Amino acid sequence: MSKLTRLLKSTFQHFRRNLWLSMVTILIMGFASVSAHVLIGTRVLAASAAQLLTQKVDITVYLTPTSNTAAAEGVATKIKTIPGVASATVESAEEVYAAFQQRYAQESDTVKALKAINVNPFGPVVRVRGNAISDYPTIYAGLSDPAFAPEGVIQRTSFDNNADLLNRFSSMERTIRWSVEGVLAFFLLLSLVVVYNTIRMAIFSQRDEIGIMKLVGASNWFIRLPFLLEAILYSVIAIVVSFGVWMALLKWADPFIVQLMTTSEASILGYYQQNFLVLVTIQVAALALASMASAGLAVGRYLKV
Amino acid sequence: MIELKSISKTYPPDVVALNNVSAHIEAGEFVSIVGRSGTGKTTLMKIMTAEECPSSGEIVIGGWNITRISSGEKPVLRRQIGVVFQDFKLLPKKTVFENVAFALEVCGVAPDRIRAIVPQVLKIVGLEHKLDRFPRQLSGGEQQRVAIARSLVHAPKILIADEPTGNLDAIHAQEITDLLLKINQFGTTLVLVTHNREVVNRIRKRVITMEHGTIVSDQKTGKYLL
Repeated sequence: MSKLTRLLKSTFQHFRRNLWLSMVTILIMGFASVSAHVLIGTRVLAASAAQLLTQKVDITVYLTPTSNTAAAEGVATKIKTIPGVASATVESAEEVYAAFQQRYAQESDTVKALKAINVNPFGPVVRVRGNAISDYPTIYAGLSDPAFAPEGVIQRTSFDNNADLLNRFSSMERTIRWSVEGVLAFFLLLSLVVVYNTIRMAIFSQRDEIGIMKLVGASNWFIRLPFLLEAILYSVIAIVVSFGVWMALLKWADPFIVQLMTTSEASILGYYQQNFLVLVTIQVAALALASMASAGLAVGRYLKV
Repeated sequence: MIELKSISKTYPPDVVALNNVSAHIEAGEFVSIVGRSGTGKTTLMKIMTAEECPSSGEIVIGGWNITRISSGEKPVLRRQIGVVFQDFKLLPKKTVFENVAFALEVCGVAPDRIRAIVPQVLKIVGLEHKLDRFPRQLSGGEQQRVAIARSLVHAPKILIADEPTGNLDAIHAQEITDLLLKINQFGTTLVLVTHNREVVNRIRKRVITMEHGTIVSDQKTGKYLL
């Protein structure tokens, strides 16, 4: 126990003696950690946006006005057998008529014209949703097979194609992600260089003490370990600070993000609250391992025991 | 206790520091190694403390061949050999007590034991009343006594003193010499590396004289010859 206490005491002593250098190291590691937070946030937003857009993509099969709901149900049942179809829902001709009236309620001329013909010009429709965006081309092609509807039942098929928008969004998200990953890699690399240099400086500034430790028979690990622990200490402090700043920022910004995206799935704060321990553990472990490796290189090179 | 067998040491490119040095030092002996600057005294001391490896030859300490000692074994050896230097090598921000305790702390000795041992050792060197002083508040002789106390806390079988009086005036040098003799009387083998004629002549013990990296004289009860 006294050994561990002395090791920790020695570690904090190193930290205190190189306070400014330690602060700079923590700051840069903090930037690396914040970059990781931004990356995670981007992924959460991208996932929820993709989900939203996916929900807006569908294929509508318009049946002729003479077709009844039962015929539409038959078509829907057949469509469900096409690979990749998640659902095929029927809207009766009356429902389509009501929906049209509601949509054009502000345009009195259109509603008047519809009433003037005194007959429902719409047939029932079947709305088809795929399991994934990539399924839609196959489904759309499958619908042209006459096996799905008797001659004259399907009037036309409309592919409300938000896929282009989704692709554009994915491409934008990829660009942002790569940029953030680049920034993260830069700060991570910079952190490792700074840790290396900080440990090197610490070794030089304590060379007298290290010399005496060797002289009086301190074990090699007792001399080396505080420098490695110092690197872990930097990582832990950097992560704690970065999480503190990031969570405070999210607490402020999250309601606006959720409102903008119109879905609670876009709540980055919620994601962090659900996965807090995992995220902290992964970040601490990754940063501590990387900085320990860097410190280990410096110790191996400059601390001869 | 210490067996030097044909030790040679050459530094690149071709500086010969030691050339075929052989000697045997018995347990409990007091040996002064004397010679002018650059004759290889300090190199010999460094080889005894495993700071340097000989280029050829063998060195055996207490039956342990340390010629090619591993890095992991060095701390074990150094706990059995006390070393004192001319420049004291004290930590300026630690008190007398802390400087001596430091040698035990870094080796994992329990705090209770440290509190028991350190005052005892400081009493041996006559500094029991200056536990809380910092090195800058002590005279050169007192600082050297702290360094000696630190080297004694592990109760080493061998104490090697490299020019321990080099930074001291005659009176303090005499005090340190007396202290080293006292330690030797307790049974510790003492190797004194020095070029101080008065100190060597006053001790009247075995003297090994070195010149150009070789032993030129080894007297049982000798004097400073050069």
